[in-house]
Amino acid sequence: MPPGKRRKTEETADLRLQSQLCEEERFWDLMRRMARENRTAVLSFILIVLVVLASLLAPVLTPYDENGMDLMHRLSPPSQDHLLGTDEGGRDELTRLLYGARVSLLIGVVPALLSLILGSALGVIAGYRGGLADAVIMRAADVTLAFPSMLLAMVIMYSLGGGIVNVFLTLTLVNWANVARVVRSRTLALKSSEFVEAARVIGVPEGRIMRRHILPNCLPTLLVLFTLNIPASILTESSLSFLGLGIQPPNASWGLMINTGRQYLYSAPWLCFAPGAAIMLIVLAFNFLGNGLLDVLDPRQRKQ
Amino acid sequence: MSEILLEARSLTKQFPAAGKKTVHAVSGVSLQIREGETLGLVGESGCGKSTLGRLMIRTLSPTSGEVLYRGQSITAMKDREFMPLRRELQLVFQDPYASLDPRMTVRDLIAEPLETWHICESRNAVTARVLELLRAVGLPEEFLRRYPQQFSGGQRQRIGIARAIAADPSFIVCDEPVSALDVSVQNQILNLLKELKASRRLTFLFISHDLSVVRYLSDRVCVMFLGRICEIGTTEEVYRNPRHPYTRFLLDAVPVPDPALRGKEIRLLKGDPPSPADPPSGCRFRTRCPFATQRCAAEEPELREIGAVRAACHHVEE
Amino acid sequence: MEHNTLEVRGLTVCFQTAKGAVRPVDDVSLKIPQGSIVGVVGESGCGKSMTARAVMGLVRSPGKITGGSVTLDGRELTSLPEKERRKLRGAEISMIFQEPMSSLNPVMKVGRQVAEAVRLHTGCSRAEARAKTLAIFREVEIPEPEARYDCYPHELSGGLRQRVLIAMAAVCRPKLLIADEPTTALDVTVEAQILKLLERLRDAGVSVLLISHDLGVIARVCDYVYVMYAGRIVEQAGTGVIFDRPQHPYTRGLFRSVASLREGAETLETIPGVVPNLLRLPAGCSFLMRCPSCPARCENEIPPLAETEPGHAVRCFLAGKEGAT
Repeated sequence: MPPGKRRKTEETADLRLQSQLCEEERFWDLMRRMARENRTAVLSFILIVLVVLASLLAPVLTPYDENGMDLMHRLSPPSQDHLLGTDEGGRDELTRLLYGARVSLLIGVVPALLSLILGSALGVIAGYRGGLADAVIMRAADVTLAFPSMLLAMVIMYSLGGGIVNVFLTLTLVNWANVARVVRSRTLALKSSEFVEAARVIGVPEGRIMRRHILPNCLPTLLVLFTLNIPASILTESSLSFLGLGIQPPNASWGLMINTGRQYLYSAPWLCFAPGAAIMLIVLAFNFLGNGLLDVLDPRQRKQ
Repeated sequence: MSEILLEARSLTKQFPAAGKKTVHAVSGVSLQIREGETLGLVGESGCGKSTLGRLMIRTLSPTSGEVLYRGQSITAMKDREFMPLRRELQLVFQDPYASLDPRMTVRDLIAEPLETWHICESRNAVTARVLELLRAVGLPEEFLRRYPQQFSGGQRQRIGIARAIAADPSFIVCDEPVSALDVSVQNQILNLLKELKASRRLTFLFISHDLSVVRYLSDRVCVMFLGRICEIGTTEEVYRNPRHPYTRFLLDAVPVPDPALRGKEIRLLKGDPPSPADPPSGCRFRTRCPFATQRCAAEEPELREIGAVRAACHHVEE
Repeated sequence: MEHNTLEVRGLTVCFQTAKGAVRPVDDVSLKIPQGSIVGVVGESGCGKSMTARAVMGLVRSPGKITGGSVTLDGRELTSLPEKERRKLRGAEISMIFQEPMSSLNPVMKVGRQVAEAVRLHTGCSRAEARAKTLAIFREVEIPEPEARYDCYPHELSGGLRQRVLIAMAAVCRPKLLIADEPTTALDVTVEAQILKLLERLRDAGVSVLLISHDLGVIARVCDYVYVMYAGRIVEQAGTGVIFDRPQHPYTRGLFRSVASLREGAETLETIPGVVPNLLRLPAGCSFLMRCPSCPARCENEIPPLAETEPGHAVRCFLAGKEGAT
């Protein structure tokens, strides 16, 4: 569009008033507003913090050792000594759940972070540079997104082998494309904004425009994506572990615990039930929190 | 007479538009801007004045024609050759709300050109220079660490001006710098621009749809209609004795804040401006012009000397 | 006695925000005699648009009308249920906005949009609605009305769009037309045409509330003027009177600013400072911070809107007194 076609932008008093009322409503104000208006998000946040604390304080919270076998008490049902019972090796289920939380949370956070970094870098470049870079990056993203993510993850895990580092890698490769797509569309919008044109007129080099003007303005979107990618990673890893492709024993992740408990589904149902419930709760909590953030940080996207 | 700083030679810019049409934003415009002068550019929306402004500082490249800076064609230059000239040619935006990055503090906003051109040695020197600039545009020092959202339109426009003058440019395009502001604040900004023009010996291309605003700041005025120059001359001459019929209608149409003049029947232009995607043949003003004749449809009027000004009309005589 | 189409008394709109209560419209009273154009002038954020919205019953949450009354031809509007109000809108009161594009449905032909409005309010047949639409198109001087009937909004120029909007607003012969900055987005040559159109509607008996920041527009068409500042009316008078002898320091500053620009002064007159934030209004006069001459009294006491001559009221302690410069 030729710049001359732009309309005069005298705001109506109405809008101006709104902006005056929203004045200084920066990040923490928005967070406070979310806390006031969205109970579910607050509860979710509290739950997540509790789970993180519990997993970190696991050695203090339980007297048992994560891998301490006690063959005398195999598969004992929940009791006062073992609140969630014991597994096939007589290990305390609650202890394993707490330690498993460390692995599961790590598996949620690390790949979400890695895919965010990779995806936003590629997304900004694709959106800002356009042309060949855009074509190459976005076709790669399309291919990634065209595969069912579970299938893709299984294929990668299968060829790389198990282990936590490979799980990180796999989940990053599965999730980056979504981030790249969202960031690219934000970048396209920001690229035509006046403040980016202003930076160009001043002579700011391209790389710096992307780093200083475009990325910071994508941050709210990125935070939302991050929060929503965590539960996705946890779920994918659980499925992988359940299939025996993820974390390898004796490490415990919640998914793996379900996998081992599966054999005793009828004799000791608590072995599947406890980690299953834990996964469900934490995934729901992250999703609620993510949607809460989306509401306050990016109301337009929410409406779509 | 001072040296010619910028010159446009038959500049043309076309944009592709929906439906395989072409928008003729600027068509064969030639003009010269001398060092230290302010050239006002007036016209209605869609007349190509913003596009012309951006062509002059090479944030848009012309479809044909060229722009010369101190006699050198900046149109022909490669990006790398042009880079050092980038800081000489600056722009003040119309919309003080959209043109400042909401995530940067006032300090970082004004420091950006200084850092880009490595004008100051150290971080402290940058901050000191930013404070100096804040004073120059009439903003208090406390603003340094705040964000643009916390300011009113006028204060933001001052920040925009500080950014434009930070790297000591020689030429600034002001694209409707006050049209988003309230009357009382608008005058503050105009005073500031006039003051800066004198104290920093700046050359301005001042774009506005508002005739009185242009009159206040400009030494010469150029009136555009649909991508072409209708009339160009000294401010005094154009306002006192407009030659081109369009200039006359434009001056007549401005509502005068004096109810006593209400009874006076004003001459109204008929109809709407034609679309720049489909300009009329010959003189582009002819579809709205009450004096239009056969000749106007057939033959495009050239800019020619009429008394002290130059105008493009077949029917205007001395 | 003259008949007032609209009477607003003590209208107050309140916004509850996280940072406290804000009153963008504070104790505003105004009246519009039948068949006249009344102007409300002020800078952005002064509450002039919000006043119009309140009259229309279009104040959005978290805003609320917390006091005052609005009567249209003697009928109280603020207590009407929403359903009743909706019937009035478009039929007896209509409104046109600054940006015509945003008030038109982009995927519907403009003729049909107007015809739809006609059918909604009169319940007449399609053919009748079409005829009425074409008639009103002719009346607002839309060239080639039949061809324009089948255009989409984006195919029309800004001026034509505003005409379509005026046609839509006037088609049901409303008693009151509220025009909120109707020409701000238009070019001067088109602006003049639209103002002419408003005058013609006035002459046809429609009362018009014209909201504008442009004193030139106000001077050209208004019969009576209200000046608003920070949510309150600070001065009101007939157009001739207020331009001849403004009394409030804000009105004077505003008029002087505009005059100095027109007359090509060496340095332009300005009003120092900025419009106050409604959240941090002073306890007394809201113009306090920018006023060249304020006695101590202004700091704690809101000056009343007092008449200085018949039909001319000013909200200033110094108005009409010696030394009020």
